[in-house]
This record gives sequence, C-alpha cells and structure tokens, in this order.
Amino acid sequence: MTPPPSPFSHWLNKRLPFLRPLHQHFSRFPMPPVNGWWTLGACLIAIVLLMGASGLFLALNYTPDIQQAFSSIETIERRVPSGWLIRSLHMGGATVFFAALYLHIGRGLWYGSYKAPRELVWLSGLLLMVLFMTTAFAGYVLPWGQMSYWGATVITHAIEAIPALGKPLVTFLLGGNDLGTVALHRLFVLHFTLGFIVLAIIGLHVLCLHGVGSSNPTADSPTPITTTRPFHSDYSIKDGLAVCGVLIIYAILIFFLPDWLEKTSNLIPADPLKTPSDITPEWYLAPFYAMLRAVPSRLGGLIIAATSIIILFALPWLDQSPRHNATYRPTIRVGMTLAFMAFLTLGIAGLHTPSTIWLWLSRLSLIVWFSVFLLILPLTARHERLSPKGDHS
Amino acid sequence: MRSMILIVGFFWGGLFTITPAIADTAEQRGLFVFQHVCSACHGMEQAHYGDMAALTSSLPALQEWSKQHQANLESPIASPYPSIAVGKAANGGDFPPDLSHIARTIRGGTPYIEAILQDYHAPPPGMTLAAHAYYNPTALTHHHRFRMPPPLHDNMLIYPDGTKATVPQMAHDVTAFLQWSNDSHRKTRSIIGSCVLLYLVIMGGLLLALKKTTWSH
Amino acid sequence: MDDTPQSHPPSSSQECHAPTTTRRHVLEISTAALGGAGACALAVPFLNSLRGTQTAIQQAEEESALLDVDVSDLTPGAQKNVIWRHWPVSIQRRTPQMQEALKSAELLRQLRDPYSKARQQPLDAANLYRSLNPEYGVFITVCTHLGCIPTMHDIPGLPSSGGFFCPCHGSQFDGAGRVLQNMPAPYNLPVPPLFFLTSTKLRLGMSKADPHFDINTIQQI
Repeated sequence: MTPPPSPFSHWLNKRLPFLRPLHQHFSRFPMPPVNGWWTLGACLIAIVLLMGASGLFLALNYTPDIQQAFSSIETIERRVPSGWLIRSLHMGGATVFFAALYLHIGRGLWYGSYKAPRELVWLSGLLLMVLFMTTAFAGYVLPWGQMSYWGATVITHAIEAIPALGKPLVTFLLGGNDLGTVALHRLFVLHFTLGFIVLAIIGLHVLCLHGVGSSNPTADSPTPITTTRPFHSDYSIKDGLAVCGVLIIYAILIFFLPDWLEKTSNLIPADPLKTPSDITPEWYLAPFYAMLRAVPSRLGGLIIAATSIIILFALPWLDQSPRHNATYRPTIRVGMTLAFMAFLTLGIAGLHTPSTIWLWLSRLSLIVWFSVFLLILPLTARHERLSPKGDHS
Repeated sequence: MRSMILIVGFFWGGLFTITPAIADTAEQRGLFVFQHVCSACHGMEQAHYGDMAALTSSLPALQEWSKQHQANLESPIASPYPSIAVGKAANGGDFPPDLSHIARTIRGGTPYIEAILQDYHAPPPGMTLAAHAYYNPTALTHHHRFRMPPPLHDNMLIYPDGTKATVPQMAHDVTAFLQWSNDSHRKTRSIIGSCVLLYLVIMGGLLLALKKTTWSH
Repeated sequence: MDDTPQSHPPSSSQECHAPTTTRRHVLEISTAALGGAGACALAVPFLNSLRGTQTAIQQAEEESALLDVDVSDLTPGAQKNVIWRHWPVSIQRRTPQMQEALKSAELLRQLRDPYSKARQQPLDAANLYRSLNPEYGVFITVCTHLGCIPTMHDIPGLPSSGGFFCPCHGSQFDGAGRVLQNMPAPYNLPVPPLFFLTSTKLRLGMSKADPHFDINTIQQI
C-alpha cells in the first residue's frame, strides 16, 4: 500500500492533523475519467498566482495619485529593474486568465457541473467571476491613461443609472462626485484587497469541489466509466502539461505581442476634457459592454447586463434534470452551442463601434442567451425528468 | 541551463551592459538628433535624462546635457515651453506633442514619422501658406499645411561616429530613437521571450512524455 | 516524488515492467528538476526589481553633487547647517578660544582618535582642527554609531570647543568632531571633501588637496 510514513511526517501528523486530509484530497483524491477541459482549473490557479506575485511587486512601485499614477507606471516600465517584465506578466495575465475563466465556465455549463450536489461549487465560482471582473475593472483604472479614465467614467455613469441608489452608491465608492485622487486611491485599495479576497474564495471553491468530487462526464453516456484514478500523479501531471501549454500562450502574448495587450490610448495620460475616439473595453468585459449598449435605455442596459449573470446563479434550480453532459442531451447541446455563440457575438460586438448591424446582432444574441437559460433549459429538464429513461435520439 | 544563465545575466547586467561598444546604433545617433534638434521644441516627459544612459556610455555628458536644461539625471525631459499656451503661441497654435510614446500614438506610426521628416517641399502653385505653416504632402493634419518647421537639413549635425548626417539618415535615426523611447525593452524582451519559450517547450515535452508513461498502464 | 498509490487498480506500478519504471523515474526527476529551475529563474526578475530604480544614475547624480556655501555671514562662534547629498553638514566658525581648546592636552587625552588616524576626513583635514582652515569646522553631523543627528553641546568640564552630543545613545564629540573615549560611537564625525573658493566661500563635494577622497569609502557614515 502507501509507502511507510517517514518519522518526520509521523511527528508532524500528530501535531498538525491537516496532513492526512491533505494527502487524501491531493495525492489519493479519486478522479472520475474527466477530459482535458478539466485542467483549466489548475491553469487558472497557476495564472492567479502569477498575477498575485506580479501585482504585489507592482504595488511596491505604484503611486495612487492622479498626478503621479501615470508616471509611476512609466517608472516601472522604464526604470525599475525588470519592471517592464513584471508589468507585462500582470497585464498579459488578465487576458490569459479571462480566456481560461470563460472556457472553465463554459465547460461547467456544457457538462452540467452546476447541478446537485455541486451547487456551491458553481455559486462560489460565479461569485469569483464577478469579483474577478470587479478586480479587473479596478486594476485597469490604476495606470490613469486615457482608457483607464474613460472606462472608469463610463462604468460609474452606468452605476449612477440605478434609481435612487445609484448616485449615493457612486459618491460612496468614489468619495465624491468626480474621479480624482480619492477615487483612484480607493480603486487601488479595492484592487489590492480583492486580490487576496479572491484567493480565499478560490480556496473555498476548491474546498466545495473536494466535498463532492468532480463530476463524471461519461455518466450519461451509453457506456459509463466508473473507475477512478488518483489525482496524484495521474491528473497532477496532466494538469501540469495543460499549465505548461497555457504558459506558452501567455509567454507568446507578453513577449511577442505586447502592443496587443496595451491599448494605444492608454499610453496617453488621462485627459478629462478629451474622450479617445477608439474607446473600447478590454475584450473580457466586451460582452457586458455590448449588453449595456444593446438596450436603448441606461437603466435597461444595466438591468440586462446584470440579469445575464444573475440567471447563471439560478442555473442549478432552472435545470433539475438528472442528466449532466450536454453531449448526450440533444436539445441542450444545441442550446449551449447557441448560448456560447451568443456570448462570443456579444464580445465581438462590444469591441466594434455600435453600428446598426452590431446593435441588432447584440440584441439577437441577448434574446438567444436568455431564451436558452430561461426557456430551453428548464423545459428540457422538465421533459427529461418526466421520462427518466432518456432517449438518445 | 545555458539559456537560464543567459536570462539571469541579462537581468543582473541590466541594460547598461547591452550597449554596443563600436559603431553607434541608429538609436544612439537618434538620441544625438533629439538632443540637438527635437528637444528644442518637444519634451519627452516620461523619460528621464538618466534613462538615456542605456544609449550612451558617458554619464557626465548626459549630466552636462541635463544641466543645460536646468535639470538633473533624475528629472523628466520636460517640454522647453513653460506652459501649453506659450508653446502654442510659438508654433502657430499647435503645441509640439510630447515624444515619449509618439512612435505608437501617432497615426501611421514610425513609417509616418520617418516620411514626414523628409517630405517638406515648396508649396504647389496656387497654395498660399499662413505663418507657421509648411507644405508637407505626407502630413495628415491641416491639409498638408504642417505646423512643424522643417527640422532637418543636410549636414546640420556632425555625428560623433562619423556617419554622414543627411536628411534621410537623420530621419531614420531619430525614428529609431523614438521607437526605442516608446518601447525600450524590445530587444531584451525578444531574447528573454525566446529563452522562456524554449524552456516551456522542453518542459512541455518532458511533461508529455511523463503523462504518456503514467497513463499507459 | 511518491510512488503511485496502489489502491487504485488502473495504475498499479508493481505490474509494470522494470524498464518502464526506470524511464518514468528518470522523467519524474528531470521534470521536477527543470520545473524547480524554472521557478528559480522566475524569482529572478522579482528579486531584481527590489534593487530599486536606477541606483547607478542616483549615485552618479549624488557623487557629482557640489554645493557652494557662503560663510561671510558667520560671526565667530556662530554655526549654520546645510544639506549636502542628503546629509546634514554643520559649518562652525570658531573663536580663537575654541581653536585653542581643540589643542589642549587635557582634551586630547580623553579622545578615542585624537590625531584622526582613521580615514574619516580628506588628507587636508587630518590635523588637530580637522579642518582646512582652523577657523572653520565643517562636519557631516551623522553619528558614527547608529546614524542619529548630534546637536551642538560642549563637553562638560572642559573649555568650550563647540562639541556635539548625540541624543540617541549619548555619544559626545568635541568641536573637531572627535569622539570621546568609552562612547558608543566608534569613529570621529566625517569631514566632507571641500575647498575654499574665496576666504568666505567654500565648495562642498571636492577636495583639492585630496582629489581621490571618496566619502563612500570612509570608515563609517
């Protein structure tokens, strides 16, 4: 069986009883036959650690003051030894992180990972997504370039649209009515603190997962595989391989496509009197930006954007079918594909100037997004529950 | 391991050791043009005088240059104009833009900069030019009535490395310098990037082999 | 690396052939070694950034720092403070009595280094006044013990020479910046490199008589 414990681990285990559960949840944790999409979680943890380390070292050299923020970033880029590398790790990290995050969530949607008994895994994951978007937004403001300033302006005005609550909320958040040093300092503290809060919630997310274990993508197939493999070293090596692949993409981005990561307008210091003509959000917030624009009402856009995320929180209860894997659920397979395409279309629309065609494509995508999750999914689930045998037609 | 040593060497050595010793590079000659021509009207606020140490081996010469501008090595290369209004008044209404990131932020990028510096001509018949306007068919602003006076003339400078200071040569050099100012770590970045990629590919290969061995039973 | 736990049937390594196990073992070790090396290399830029912004530039800037001080407004016995390279420098115009007091045998007996043997001053200040011109005492008032700033305070019981007293741990210096015996401070106060441009104007930052004097290489500052 397991190798005999060394005297040291025996000594430690007596005094720190976490060692044995850790062993059970890492080395010997039984893994169902999950496929390559399940490696994204490990990739996300690797990126978030790199983001945390680079962020910590950036914070050592950053000054949250509207007079000095831009030049402190330039100092990091030009004068702090290896500062440019640490900053590009942080900037590139955001892009790679959100790409992996959206795929990770998409995997959860496709394979029904939100269902009982994994509701808490799903909910903590969605909470993480919202926190990451907030962190990314706050972080993007910090360099105090043109995009930073105008992005922050647009978002604060969107929040102001909330009836009654909006104005006081923005004042409360910014410490005044305008984007000044007080607001910048708060956004810096928010960004920095959220970095540690998300680490804690990631821990909770993993803890929730380890309570119930990973879902089995073959469970719904005609030939389910029920045997498990130990996480270490079978899946840990597989995760390592995936992390290595993601790091290659990451390295290509930061070393060979740096101009793609930083928008030209953000190389110009914030100017409250001139909106840059090429203003677009970072690509990972673009779908939600498109939603804000798709509705010809400030409050309406905000409600739609917020609801598009809120319905994801309700998924475990909207889809109560015992079946998980969309591959073996013909209607859901079409529905999920449509939803993914809608999200993609919204993202592309958000990066384009709002011409008529993009506006209507955004609206169509929104209709698809909501009908998949509010109509197709509950109705199919109801149908599947009523005929539990299931027909693999 | 060799690549690792190389990376480590690059980090610890910093930029100073990469400065080539023999002939001046285009960036170095471009700095010379900037010091003697561009900086008369333009600032480079995000760069400090001391940052130019990456392009020149002589700190005292840089110190001398900074003192001429009532500054020191740790001060930004500020615009020579005390205010925006004064700069505008002296240049026909357009403030000479800051050059820190001009290679990236100007429409057309470096090819545009290099072309515009060489493309001053007498106005075509029938075109009248106001004061502070110069005919430049490349210029995208003010319908080719560019507001920057022709900055370069053949042999206006004597390059320290003996290169002949023709207008195309100087335009090329100063463009390289502006590109460097926009993105000073381009060379270091691609070297480190190649090493990192090489490392990751080897690491990936090892992990792939290990995964295959582990999963084969 | 642990062996694969054998509670899971699909990965029972005991059934494997020996060559596979060896191959796997070699792969495991080399992956771990290369991964560890990568992690160490990753730490390099982070540690490198802690060196701070361009110390070479700052140092060059400081080393070339010259400061001209006009002392024509100093009456005998008066003193003024200036800042030279982020250090406080005390310039004192001595009365004839103070100059005499610096040479008294009674004082010299009590000093740790009365003849300025330790390299704490340029060569032209290695005399009983520790100054180029006995009339002007110029010292960097940073205690050689732990860096506090001593204040003007004479040695009790001796003729006034214009001494310094450090509030932190009670080191007492005489008017030539020489530390008394049995004090926490191990060396005399540093004398900056300087020369007189005119009889009442001095330039800090360069010593004409000792051009190689480097304030960064003295015993203690």
